[in-house]
Amino acid sequence: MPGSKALHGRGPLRSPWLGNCRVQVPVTDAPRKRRTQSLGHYGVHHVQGRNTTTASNAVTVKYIARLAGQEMRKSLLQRRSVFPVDGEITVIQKPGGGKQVRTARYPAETHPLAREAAQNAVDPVRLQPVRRSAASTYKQSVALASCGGYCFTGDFYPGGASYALPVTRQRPHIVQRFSGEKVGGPERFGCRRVRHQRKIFDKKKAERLSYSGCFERHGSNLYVSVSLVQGEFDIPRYPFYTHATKLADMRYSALSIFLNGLRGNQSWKPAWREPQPKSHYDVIIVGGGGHGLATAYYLAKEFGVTNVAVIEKSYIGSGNVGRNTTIIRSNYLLPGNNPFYEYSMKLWESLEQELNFNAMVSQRGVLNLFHSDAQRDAYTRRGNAMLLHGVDAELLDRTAVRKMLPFLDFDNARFPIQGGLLQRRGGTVRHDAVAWGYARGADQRGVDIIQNCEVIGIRRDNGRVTGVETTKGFIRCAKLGLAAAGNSSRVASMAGLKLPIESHVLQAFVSEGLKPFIDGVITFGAGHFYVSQSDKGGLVFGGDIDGYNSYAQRGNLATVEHVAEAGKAMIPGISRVRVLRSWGGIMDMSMDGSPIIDRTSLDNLYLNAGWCYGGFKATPASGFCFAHLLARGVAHETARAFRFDRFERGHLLDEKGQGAQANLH
Amino acid sequence: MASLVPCPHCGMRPKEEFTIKGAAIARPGSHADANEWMDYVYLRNNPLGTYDEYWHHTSGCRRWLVVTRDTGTHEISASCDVTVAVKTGVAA
Ligand SMILES: Cc1cc2nc3c(=O)[nH]c(=O)nc-3n(C[C@H](O)[C@H](O)[C@H](O)COP(=O)(O)OP(=O)(O)OC[C@H]3O[C@@H](n4cnc5c(N)ncnc54)[C@H](O)[C@@H]3O)c2cc1C
Ligand SMILES: [Zn+2]
Repeated sequence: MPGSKALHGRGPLRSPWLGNCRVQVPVTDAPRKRRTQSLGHYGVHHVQGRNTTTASNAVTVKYIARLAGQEMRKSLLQRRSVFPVDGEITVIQKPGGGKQVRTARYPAETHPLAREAAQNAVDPVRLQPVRRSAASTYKQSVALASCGGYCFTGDFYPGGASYALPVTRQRPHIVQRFSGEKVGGPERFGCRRVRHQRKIFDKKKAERLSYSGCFERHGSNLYVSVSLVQGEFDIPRYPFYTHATKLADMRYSALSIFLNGLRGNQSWKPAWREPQPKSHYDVIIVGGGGHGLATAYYLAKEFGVTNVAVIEKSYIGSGNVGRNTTIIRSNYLLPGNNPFYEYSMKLWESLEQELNFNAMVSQRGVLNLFHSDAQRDAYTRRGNAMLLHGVDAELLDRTAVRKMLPFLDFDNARFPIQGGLLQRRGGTVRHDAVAWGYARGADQRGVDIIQNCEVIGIRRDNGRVTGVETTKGFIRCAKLGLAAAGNSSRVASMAGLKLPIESHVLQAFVSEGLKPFIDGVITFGAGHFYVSQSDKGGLVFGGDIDGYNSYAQRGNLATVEHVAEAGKAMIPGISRVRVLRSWGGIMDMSMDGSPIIDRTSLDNLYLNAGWCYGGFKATPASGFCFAHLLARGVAHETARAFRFDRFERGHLLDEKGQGAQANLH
Repeated sequence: MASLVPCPHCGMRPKEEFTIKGAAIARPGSHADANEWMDYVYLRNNPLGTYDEYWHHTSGCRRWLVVTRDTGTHEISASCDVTVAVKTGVAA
């Protein structure tokens, strides 16, 4: 229903008043048209004598909430209500105890138009030509608004969650639209919810309102929805309603699993589209790894930039995001690094709720073992730095470690285990689910994820990027962001840039399944080895990079041997465990071991690179900060140290203190 | 590259006998300006394809070598002592 001004509809979304504010719809999208902005929708559906808030209400409220940011969201969660007044946001407290709360209901019959619709509802075909023009007087529109969403005929759903069942599966049949101008008497445009009737506009402001709405048929039920509209704004390519229904269909929940199970799991839909590239985007991101997808997601969600494409030469998740050993942590020493990784950790902690996607975020703890007094001092210092940054850190002595992990080789003659630095909030995340979750979230907000499309050139004009040459043709863009991880140097060279980066291969290994015996992540302090146990029982482990430049995504046997030795030195008991599979990934090893999120010498070219072997844990923050940079032109506060020119300026971020030797970081 | 690396002095040797330094690029002269040093110390071409690297035969003859290797296939096409490389202009 392109061009609709109204926010209509009804879906299985929980009422925003009850705290579910996760339904989101892009407010701007291409093709942009000047349209009227809907400031609120007040159609309320009665189901079995109760009011439930409509899907579109949820959408609207989300939109409003985004305008007002976190503050608003918080107040929503506290079950207060939010209403827009003339473009501004007012928070209306829940009416207190003493207040008289009206629960008046307006049966359909009170309005002739509604009555007519109700009578005809049995036959949708006959309903089509209802010619009654829109209510144009004060009285009529009040009547419409008051019965907004009233369920006129047909069955009632038996309440609770089950009302979602039939409705989500159907697009409503829009029976008739109507609209009008200059509605007065705003005090009756009440939003009725379970027990409250509210005033939403004060009189003066509402004089300027216009309205629109429609009759909708859901199966055998007929609804009237009314929106109040005002002012000009960019409307999305999809009208809100369509989006809301789509979102409702796509939301994963225990219920959706159940319902899809009933239908033989035949009606699951792909989690993202496979669009052909458009000719122009506001932002193009090269690289559909975790960072590129997260960037697109946050651009659309947090910064309102939805005309975005992510261009991936293979399939998404084929790069490092699907190859790493899944460890997340924020146990960094340097002040330039720590707040960034801690920000990332915080984003991890709410990621699954945010994305409505199970990424198996598991804060099972990360323990770094130390084996000497010097190493203990270094780890103590790191732990203290973490605590100073408000990050959790615990220094465990030998006894405490032994209690946790009795099977380690504590009394190794060369490397006795003296203790460990533990970050309990660290852990593991299912890596490919992170790519999929961000891809789905970005796609839902209008981002085009273009797979199997390689960027082969970057076209420039006068110090600016004009677009990218790809295997699917030339695509113009206003801004270009590079997030190509191991291929950063190659992509940047297309724009004439030479990076302080070498590409190296790192291998990862998975053993056969074992009974659970390793709860968290353990890293060996005396050799290159780190290990965790997956939920399937396999040991997931790795060691150091191979050490030579490579784009081959496979490593050398010498490294395999080295990793096995180190693992055996730490846990003698694994000597007979068989390795099931191993693979390699190409990493962008920077010259100081820290990343770059910055602008470049080309005006509209932005760079996100240099993640070394530790960029997975950074995925959410990297995406957020890169989106921040792309949208606002300035670095996010936690990513200020990741400047491109820090090498020239001598402000290196060398966590390990290795110097300009990429393969030692 | 299998696990063997050819050393001009010792023949085929296991990779773990070597230490890898990285790109064999010419060191700037004493009058080089900051840009040249920046380029030498930090910036890398990092190509996909043929690449000259310094390898040190640490657990062997302890000579520095220039190994020419393909970064896409790991195949080694040449390896010579660093002094020979300088003479033939491969590295400086
Ligand atoms: C074996 C291994 C273990 C690791 N373990 C950990 C760990 O435990 N914890 C941790 O935090 N980090 C770890 N990392 C590092 C982490 O995986 C990476 O730093 C991070 O995933 C890089 O960001 P990304 O997800 O965007 O990269 P990628 O997924 O590699 O994304 C880059 C994408 O760009 C695409 N691309 C490249 N060139 C082009 C082009 N010309 N046109 C179009 N697309 C292009 C690639 O196909 C790729 O999909 C590990 C890495 C490896 C290899
Ligand atoms: Zn030798």
